[in-house]
Amino acid sequence: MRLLLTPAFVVLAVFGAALAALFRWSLLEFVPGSLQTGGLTLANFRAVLAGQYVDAVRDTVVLSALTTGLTLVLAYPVAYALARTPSRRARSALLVLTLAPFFTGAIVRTYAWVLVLGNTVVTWPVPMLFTERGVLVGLVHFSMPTMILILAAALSHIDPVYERAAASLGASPARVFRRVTLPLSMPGIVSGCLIVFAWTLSAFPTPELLGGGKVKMIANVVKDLGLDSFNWPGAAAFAMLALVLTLALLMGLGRLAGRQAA
Amino acid sequence: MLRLVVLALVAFMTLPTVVVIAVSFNPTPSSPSRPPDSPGAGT
Repeated sequence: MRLLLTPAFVVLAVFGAALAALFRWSLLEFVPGSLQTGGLTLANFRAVLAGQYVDAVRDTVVLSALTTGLTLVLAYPVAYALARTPSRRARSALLVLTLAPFFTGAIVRTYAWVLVLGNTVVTWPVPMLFTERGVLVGLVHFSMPTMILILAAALSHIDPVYERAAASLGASPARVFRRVTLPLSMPGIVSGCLIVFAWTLSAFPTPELLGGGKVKMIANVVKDLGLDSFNWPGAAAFAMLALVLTLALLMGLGRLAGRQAA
Repeated sequence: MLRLVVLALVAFMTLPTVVVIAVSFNPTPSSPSRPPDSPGAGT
């Protein structure tokens, strides 16, 4: 048994070492214009609590919440069709189209969105590229396949007999959905939302390319601090704060979802 | 109705892939040619 657990402990040790290194860097003094660091200090944490960084954290949480909600609403019909389409051929086609975003890499896909949102393919009535709206579209598109697959797995485990029984007792299709399908698919909704929310909180290429430097999420600020300002201690401090915030939010959401599901 | 919604959402999901394929057929713009008397021309 102990031998079987060894790989897990090795992985945990590697992650633990990386986190420890990040924590150590966050406590080192930043020397402007130099990659050398000074002694131990808490100044980095005080510095990253400044307005612009707090704004980035707020924008990230708002964008992540909006992305999760929109992705859930948009993914549900596709997942429902994927789980309930009787024709095997239609189901396979739908699955392939669902997985289509994975065929191109994240960067190529985001550059395609730059073309679409930049009025090259379609003319938009409002500016889309380099705005929060554009970043939201990119994040929703990025998260949809994952959400669809999780919801489809949850929906395929619901026996259609329950829905037929409710319909035979006179419930309208909307009522059947609201009272039977939706509550029974709640475990899939909760896990899908948690995964998409956590994923979006750490999003980097989508806000970097579709935000054009105007929309900053946590990962973009960490990159700016670390690679543009060479302020590695500041970047480490901000990453630590973001990590604590992400863990707190996910634990709170998980507890809330668990309480509602019970 | 559900079929139309699903079709629209699938179109949204495949749009970037379609754009990538369409753009890959566009001709690459050729680099500007040097004037004939410029240094290194013809070499």
